[in-house]
Amino acid sequence: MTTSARPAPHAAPAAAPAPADVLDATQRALRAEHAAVYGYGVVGGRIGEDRRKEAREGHDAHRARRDALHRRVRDLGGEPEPSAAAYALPFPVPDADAAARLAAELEDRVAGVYADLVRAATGDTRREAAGALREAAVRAVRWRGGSVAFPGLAERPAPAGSPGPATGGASEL
Amino acid sequence: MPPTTPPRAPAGPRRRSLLAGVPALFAAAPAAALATACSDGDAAAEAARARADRRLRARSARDSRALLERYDATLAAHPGLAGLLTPLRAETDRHVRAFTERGEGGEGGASGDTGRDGEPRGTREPPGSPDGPRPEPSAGGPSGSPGTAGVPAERDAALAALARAERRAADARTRALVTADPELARLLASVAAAGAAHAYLLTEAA
Repeated sequence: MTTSARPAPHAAPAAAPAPADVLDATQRALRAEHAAVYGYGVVGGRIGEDRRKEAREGHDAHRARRDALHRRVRDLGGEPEPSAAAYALPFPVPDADAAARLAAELEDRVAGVYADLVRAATGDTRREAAGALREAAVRAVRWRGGSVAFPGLAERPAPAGSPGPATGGASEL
Repeated sequence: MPPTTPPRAPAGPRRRSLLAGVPALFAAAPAAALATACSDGDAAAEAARARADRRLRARSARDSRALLERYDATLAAHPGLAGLLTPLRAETDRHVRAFTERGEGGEGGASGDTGRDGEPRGTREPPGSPDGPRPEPSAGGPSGSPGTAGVPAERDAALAALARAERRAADARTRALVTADPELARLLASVAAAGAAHAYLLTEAA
């Protein structure tokens, strides 16, 4: 694992590459899962005892998805993007409430990349991406306590004033 | 097919940050739009795909309307559940609009006309459609009020019935999206995910 904050550039695929869009969308999903794995580490460090098991399950689930995406990128002829050594958090996480909010935010963002991967992919890859989106949406609701109308669709945000998260993020976090 | 949504471009200088939006390096052109040199065969295939897309949108809209009616009927039978059900119903309404927003969902567009006014639904598919969450018959009551027929009298059972309907719809959409056109597949995946989240909340509350 590199110590620099910049990810290693991924090499161009060699023979018979997948269409650029599905490989690219898969890399983005992998990138988001790297961030989620890191973020859940922070969540686990701050979350209350009552939700520790849930945090661990989320952490494990995202690791598994990360590993699957890693393999998938290889299968598509790409070089899997590595994790960064560390990530800047979107907001301070001093306590259990903030940790739960971070977990919800992580799931929202993961949902976004999987929605895009559904669009870019076909067959099994699409099916898996839809399943991952579904899981992320349910986890987000568990962490946040309320639902949103269109998990993963940044162009369809929750109405202003609703309990949904502020997605649609041009926000540099 | 609509153009892809604008990329979530990072605001300031690019930092390696946890949840930065990633610029779209590609335009995710829906497969349907990639046909260039059209032969008659290509044009026919393209037309068939457009028809299939419209049908799937229409079916999805119908399924969401059926869920909407279930929510209304359950709210009528169990007003004490309004705190939980009203936001879920509002999201379901948005789903209907999303499937109908290009006027291709049939039945006259957005769901201003739910079962509340008892309007007959002449364009419904016959009962027994394989994967819709069909409400029990007569869920739409006489003019002026939604019926409560078909909603279990007991609160927890009513919630469980709604959760089951949401889950069935989510499963159906998950199956349908695999072969749908790309943009519709993405929308279906999101709505299926929302439905699964609804089912979770409804089950937790029961």
